[in-house]
Amino acid sequence: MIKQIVEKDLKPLTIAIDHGTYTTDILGKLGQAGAFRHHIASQNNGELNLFGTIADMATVSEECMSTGFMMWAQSVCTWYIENSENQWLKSEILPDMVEGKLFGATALSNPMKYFAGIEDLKLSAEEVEGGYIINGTLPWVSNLLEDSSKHFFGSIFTIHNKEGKADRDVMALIPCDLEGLTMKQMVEFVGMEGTGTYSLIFDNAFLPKKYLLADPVGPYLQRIKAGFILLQTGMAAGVIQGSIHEMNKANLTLSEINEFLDDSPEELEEELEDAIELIQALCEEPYTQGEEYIKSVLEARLLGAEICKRAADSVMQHSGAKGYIVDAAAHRKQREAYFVIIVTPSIKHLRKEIDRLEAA
Amino acid sequence: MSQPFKKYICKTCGLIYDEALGDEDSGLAPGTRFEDIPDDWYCPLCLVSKSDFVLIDETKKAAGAEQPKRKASTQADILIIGSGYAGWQAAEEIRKVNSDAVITLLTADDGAVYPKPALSMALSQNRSPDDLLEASAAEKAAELDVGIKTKTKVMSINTKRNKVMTTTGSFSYKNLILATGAKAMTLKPDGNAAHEIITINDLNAYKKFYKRLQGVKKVTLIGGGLIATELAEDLSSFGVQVEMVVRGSKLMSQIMPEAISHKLTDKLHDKNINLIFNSEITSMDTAETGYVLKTDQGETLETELVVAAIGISPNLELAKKAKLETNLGICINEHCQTSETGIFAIGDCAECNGVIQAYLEPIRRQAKALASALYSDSASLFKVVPTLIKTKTPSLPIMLSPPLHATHGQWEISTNVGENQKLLYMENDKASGFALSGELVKSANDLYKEMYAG
Repeated sequence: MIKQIVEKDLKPLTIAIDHGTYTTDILGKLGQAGAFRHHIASQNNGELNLFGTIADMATVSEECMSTGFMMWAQSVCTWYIENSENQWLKSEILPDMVEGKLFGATALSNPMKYFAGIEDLKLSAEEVEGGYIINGTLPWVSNLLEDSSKHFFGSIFTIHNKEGKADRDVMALIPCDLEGLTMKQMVEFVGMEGTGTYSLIFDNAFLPKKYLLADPVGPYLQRIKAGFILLQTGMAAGVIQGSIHEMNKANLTLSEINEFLDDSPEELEEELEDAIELIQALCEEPYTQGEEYIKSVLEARLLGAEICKRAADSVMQHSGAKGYIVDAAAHRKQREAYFVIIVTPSIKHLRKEIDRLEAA
Repeated sequence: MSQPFKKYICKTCGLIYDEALGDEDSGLAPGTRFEDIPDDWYCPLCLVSKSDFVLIDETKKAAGAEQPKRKASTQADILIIGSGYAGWQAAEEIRKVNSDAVITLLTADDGAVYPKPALSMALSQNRSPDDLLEASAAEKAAELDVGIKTKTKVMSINTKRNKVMTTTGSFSYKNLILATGAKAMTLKPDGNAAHEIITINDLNAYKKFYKRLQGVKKVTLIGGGLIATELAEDLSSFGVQVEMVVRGSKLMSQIMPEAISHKLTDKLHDKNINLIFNSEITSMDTAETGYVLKTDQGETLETELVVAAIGISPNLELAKKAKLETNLGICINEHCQTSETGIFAIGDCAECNGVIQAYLEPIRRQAKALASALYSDSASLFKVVPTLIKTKTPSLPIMLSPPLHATHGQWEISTNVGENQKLLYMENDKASGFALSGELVKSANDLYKEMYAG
């Protein structure tokens, strides 16, 4: 089913999406086909199958990782709601988001860097009767549409008390049509342009309390963290597999000379299989507590990024000049693979986290 | 005027020989100068020879940051995975017999060199985790002329392509040495704090434990084996109230006869260590200060820190994934070679003739056999022989040489005068192990030599 959507609906759009076309059509179809359902037990007959969602994301990312990335945003947003205590979100938003009728995003890059001691938290809020008044700016949140009542993103902000002192951090779901929220496309990216990526400016934006995901946020983040990171591996697995396809294609004519390259498609394939096996095992108990498990999850994600790095290099080298032409698949794979390397948590961020867990 | 007394440290296990104190167990009176110790004297803790001791230079502190990083070759003749005692020992022995081989060592941690046996006696020696550091990875690598890549976890081995995949790229090898060690086993009781049980099997874990220990008045140890007992003594001497929860009915039942075990239990009682036998922890929850534990015997215990020392389990994941033959450990022959040509294993992860010997002395012999097989005449072979253990239990000196397979024989008392006991493990009228306590430990080395001569 997912494969058919990729072949029939996505493939004709891949280049346009890479250039900046944002569409929810594909996400809608994928949702109907169940791509966002596997890991949401409440919508999946009680079964939590994290790897199922990752596998579908990989299938799509093989063709177009921009779409794979939006699937991740969508999947993670449903994961936020599923793991919250908010019954209203669970009954009013979650089912439609799982179905692909509503669209979800995540603005957790900044908070993740904040919790890792890399950045300050960029959103602050004042608690008022019935909700929060939010101020601040978030750079680069994806899978959004301006003024849309169908698009939502999860975000974390610091509540300040009347004296202006930071009190605690809370997490909430925020609709794109929130009054006081302005969305701007400030920059043009070298890849992943059609992912609905915006800067978000909050100017005294009032968010009703019914959107609350977690307060306090600490134990909740522990709960969602492994799933959040593991879901990203679907992008990595897909773009690596896509690169392997391109390399095999190049080898139809260039295999004699390509033999002199370092990372052959066969070798990357073997390593990918190993990595997938590892990820699959980690997906079985995504609520496991303790540092050992989360370290393994970070290592698996790091492994994905490391293989991406080699695949990005090797796919270009295997393809040669043909891959250097504008809109060549090899070049697109390279740009997409680099996204896995630099998106939060990036290779350097992951290494820092693992180091922190390792040290006393 | 005579020279001030000096201190010498065993490079292998970190035992300190203090001239002022001597070593009465081996008949060295206080004030015996190091140079006056007979050459056939052994380290009382790990049995290496006198020549393995170095003078402690109190003025020198381990540095490291100033050392230039050593480039690790991604195409190594010898690729070693693991920087515990086994990994470094392998590098050292190989370097002794071959000065040209390109050696790369990969380690998931920081690669620091430290004496592992010291982890269960550092508190009483008043040594902090930083004091245990003997050399940084860069210093040790420079000394041995090997390349080291720290903070690099090996994720898989590709035996077909002689390559390993890591979290920092891939490395190819001609020969691979697995020194992946073992992980501390833990338990998973019910309760909201079960994942906060501490285990200690390397310096980093010890650092975390040490940090947590500050200001703590009571520690609960789970386990009744060698390490748990040593930790209990060490913590007790540090002024901490200690409670031991032991699954079985005696201490060190795997390696020690009941008679000595009872005597040791009495000695620990005298130190106000609370021993709870025949009990298992069923739940662990956070309490106002620390934790509250419940046992299967219906007891409720309040404590501030929980440490499990219930044994170690060899790290076999890589070997299994690479389809090497494994049993309890990675199976090796007397050259330390695994079932795959060109891949060797050594240390706590390796099993030879069905036996894993997680002690320093066998690892030293493994490293020699390995180096000999790789770059010399293969004449040095690793043979499994019973090891000699000195327990770090100041309450009661004990030296043991447990039988390799304690199945068909039994412990028989040979001498029993107060706390001075000698027992032999008899199997078909032949002694295959011994245990000594009190004054009698002085005869351990002679007895050991007599038993395993040749």
